[in-house]
Amino acid sequence: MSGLFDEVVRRSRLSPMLAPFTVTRLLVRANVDPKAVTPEALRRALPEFEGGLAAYLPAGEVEQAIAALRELTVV
Amino acid sequence: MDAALQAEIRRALETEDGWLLDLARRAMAESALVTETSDDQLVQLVHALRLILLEALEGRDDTRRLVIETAVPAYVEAGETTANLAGATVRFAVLLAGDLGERVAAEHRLGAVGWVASFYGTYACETFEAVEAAR
Repeated sequence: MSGLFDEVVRRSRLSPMLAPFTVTRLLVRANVDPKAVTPEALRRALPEFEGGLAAYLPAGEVEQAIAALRELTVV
Repeated sequence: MDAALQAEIRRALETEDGWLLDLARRAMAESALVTETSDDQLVQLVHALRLILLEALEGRDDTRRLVIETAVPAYVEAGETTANLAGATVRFAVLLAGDLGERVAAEHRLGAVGWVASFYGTYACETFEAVEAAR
């Protein structure tokens, strides 16, 4: 996996065990290859993350995670 | 499902006094799982379980599908055995039936327990299909 993938995992606010699997699944749902995620692809996947992270996180934490992930889409 | 029973179960599930997390902690305390579940992770899993149950009341399964696609392979890859996962699932189901049953009006108790049994019958099937697929 790319360094960006690892950073997405780190910023997801999900537990270390759940995060890699959830990030992978949400990227795949957004038609993004987890092994080749780019800032632009992550930007396209953010709506999927907004919905998906809410499965495990309360709304406030989802907002914080999305804000942290959005920073990664700025190149 | 009877509308009054559905409303009563919803009311109980939406009561956020920590009862579902307490239930999960009791279930995990006696669990034979070989993987460590941190309290932070348990909080996230309980958040998901509450959503899964609320969605099931409405005949939806969005969160359930995502959790099965993510938490199940996470536990399998971490080295959890099918037997241990089955044990944990049964423990959760029985504790949930008991605790939810105590939190609804007496006239809805059997209905609530029956709903949990029906829900977990489906949920367990889906979970262990995912366990098989992940191995």
